[in-house]
Amino acid sequence: MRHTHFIPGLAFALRPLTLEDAPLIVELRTDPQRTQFLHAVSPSIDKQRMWIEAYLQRANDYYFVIERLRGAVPEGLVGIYDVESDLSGGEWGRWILRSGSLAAVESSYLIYKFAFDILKLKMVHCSTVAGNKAVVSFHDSCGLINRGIQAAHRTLDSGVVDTIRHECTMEHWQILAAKLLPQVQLIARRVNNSYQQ
Amino acid sequence: MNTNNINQEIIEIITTVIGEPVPSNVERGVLSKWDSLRHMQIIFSVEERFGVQFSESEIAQVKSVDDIAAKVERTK
Repeated sequence: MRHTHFIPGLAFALRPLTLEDAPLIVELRTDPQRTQFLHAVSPSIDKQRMWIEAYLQRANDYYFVIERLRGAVPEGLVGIYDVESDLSGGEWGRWILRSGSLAAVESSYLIYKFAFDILKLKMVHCSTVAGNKAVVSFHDSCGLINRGIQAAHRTLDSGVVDTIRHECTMEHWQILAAKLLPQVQLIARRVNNSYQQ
Repeated sequence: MNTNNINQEIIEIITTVIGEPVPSNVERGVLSKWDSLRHMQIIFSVEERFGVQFSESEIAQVKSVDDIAAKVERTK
């Protein structure tokens, strides 16, 4: 949906996706090294613009560009969608970062911050392709609640795949934040110092 | 400190962060538990142990014990 939420962090921020980001989506989501576990998208920027136009009209769907604060350099994408009208929950995903980006920890922290501190959701979940073991491990390492396998839950170009569901409740967010924030701070110090060099 | 000692200390750091024994040829991208969060924890632990600092690009590039040890040795 069209929104104006800007979520600043220490080194990165989440800013609203716009039509002008169509080339960025195509660039990131047609990189074979980054998209093995995501739905394929058309390499056509015009078709991506059409997708974004439809997204902008869709309720309860928040798509962000992950941007480096210093220099406003785009580093990835993330979103929360299927947000329930009673705020009982929503799903986050569409998470993809440029190769070599250090935004993983802070971008996940910021999407939770948006979900719980701004949207006031009671719970968020994500579904990760089971074969994407590094991301499954990342969610486990962050301390999300692992709800196990969702069999044949998603269809990719490669076929129907299982996913792993992770959850975080509003109450659990405080524990998660306490775990992630020290790492966010350390990474931010490094990223921001790199900008100055 | 010789190379073997450096490598062994790095393996110990990775083992501590991962939470289970790892082989000496462990690599990020092969060991799924070496995820993005744990990678940063490993890097920061190595920096503290050896008094070195990885640049942002080096953090992204290092993927193995040998990569990390090479950085430590270059800096010493």
